[in-house]
Amino acid sequence: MNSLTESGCSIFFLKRVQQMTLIIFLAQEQIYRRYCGSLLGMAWSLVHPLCYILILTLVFTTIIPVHIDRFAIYLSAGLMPWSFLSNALVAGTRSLTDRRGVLESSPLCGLTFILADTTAEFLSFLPGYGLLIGIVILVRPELFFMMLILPVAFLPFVLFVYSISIVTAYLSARFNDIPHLLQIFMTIMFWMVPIVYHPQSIPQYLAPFLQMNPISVLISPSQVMLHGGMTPTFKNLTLSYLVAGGALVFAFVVHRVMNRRIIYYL
Amino acid sequence: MRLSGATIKVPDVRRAHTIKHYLLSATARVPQSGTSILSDVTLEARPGDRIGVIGRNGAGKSTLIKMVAGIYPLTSGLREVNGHITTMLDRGIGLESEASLRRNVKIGLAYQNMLHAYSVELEKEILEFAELTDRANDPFKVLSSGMKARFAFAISLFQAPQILLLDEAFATGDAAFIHKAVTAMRRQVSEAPISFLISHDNNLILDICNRALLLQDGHLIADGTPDAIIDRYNHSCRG
Repeated sequence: MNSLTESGCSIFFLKRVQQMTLIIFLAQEQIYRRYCGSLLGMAWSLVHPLCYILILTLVFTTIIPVHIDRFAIYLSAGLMPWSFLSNALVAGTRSLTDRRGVLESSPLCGLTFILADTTAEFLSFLPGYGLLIGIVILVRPELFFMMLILPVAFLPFVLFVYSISIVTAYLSARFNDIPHLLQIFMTIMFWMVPIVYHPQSIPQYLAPFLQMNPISVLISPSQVMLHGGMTPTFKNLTLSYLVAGGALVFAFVVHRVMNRRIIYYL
Repeated sequence: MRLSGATIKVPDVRRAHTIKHYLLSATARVPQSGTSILSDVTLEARPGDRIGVIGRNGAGKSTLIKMVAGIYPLTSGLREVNGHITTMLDRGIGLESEASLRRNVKIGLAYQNMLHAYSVELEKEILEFAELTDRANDPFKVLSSGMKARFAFAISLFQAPQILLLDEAFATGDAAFIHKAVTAMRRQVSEAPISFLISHDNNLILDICNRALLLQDGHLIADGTPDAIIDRYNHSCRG
């Protein structure tokens, strides 16, 4: 009986490892397809956010000054995760709808493609974020050890992005309107998250809205570490894990409810 | 493998694909409509069964196979499957036009959920079967359509399934390759414990299969020996 359970466990873990290998392989293929044959290759994933950061830094330090020390780092610490979220959601809207043929002929589940697409966005995001961490350490070497615990603060955000990508992918396959609504939603949300302004600079009556914004809650711990050089408060960190946990549960429910019949809506 | 009262009803997508329609139907309490594409199919396949699936276009042959594969979920009924299923239904799903053939071997296996089976030896065997060894580093897009079909067929062939689901139209290419592909298909069918073969070629069914199913308008109307079922099918076509 014991050996039977052990072999059952090892088969379970072997299958999970195979699934993860498959997802990473599909994500790498996605990245290869995106950058193959281009002049800069994967360096394009750095160029786009760098240009954006440069322009916004110029605007918000000289034209409309926002008076934040080391504004470029503050902006990057918020903008890079935001771009990851935004790109992953856009990719999510196409994960299932663009793969009707594949899903009708392949034994792979739609979730595999959603996770692969999000992983591709995550892998594209990592070099830029790594560069930012490198610059922070270069400017303030005393933060080196703090950067080692940055993944703990950033993990909830990553979990949140994966969860919301799953939800977006299923809803986009079910309803044609979702990609359009998502565009509007993301534009509004960008200005509701303290990326180009400091949370303390907004009027008091708007502060509760900002505090309730789940994306602010998730971005702020890493933002505080990278820009402020401080560890996030226990309350802030707990809140971010709760938001990520809630999103995960929601994604799981959406997957369970919609996965079975989504093929008929593609 | 067992299906019991298996039914597939697909939603009326035109009604349900926008939020507007969804909200309207919810507020007006309109019952969710749908179309049955497969109704009340009951069958059991045991090791040794080589089952030919016959029927006119739109009868539900591909739907039945995709239901067995688990691609189309049931609306009602029961589906029990024990064993690894391999589908050979569409050519070259997911293959990358810019990537080399070597890379595409891996991609093709990944899309069949067989990435773990990849090895350099397998890659070599696939390229040899497709007669494309000398073009292993060429991008997929520069191949002729016949070569592409050969390559895609070869990727799907090198698997050892317990249940094989196969569409005869899958084997395409030039005359010499079709002969080679059909021979390989026969070998695959004889080696897999359970096989389902969709075909419009009665001789192929008679030659390979020891059982046949006749489908009509989404209903399984006959299940028996290939010659009896083909007779019945020919009668219905003439009638």
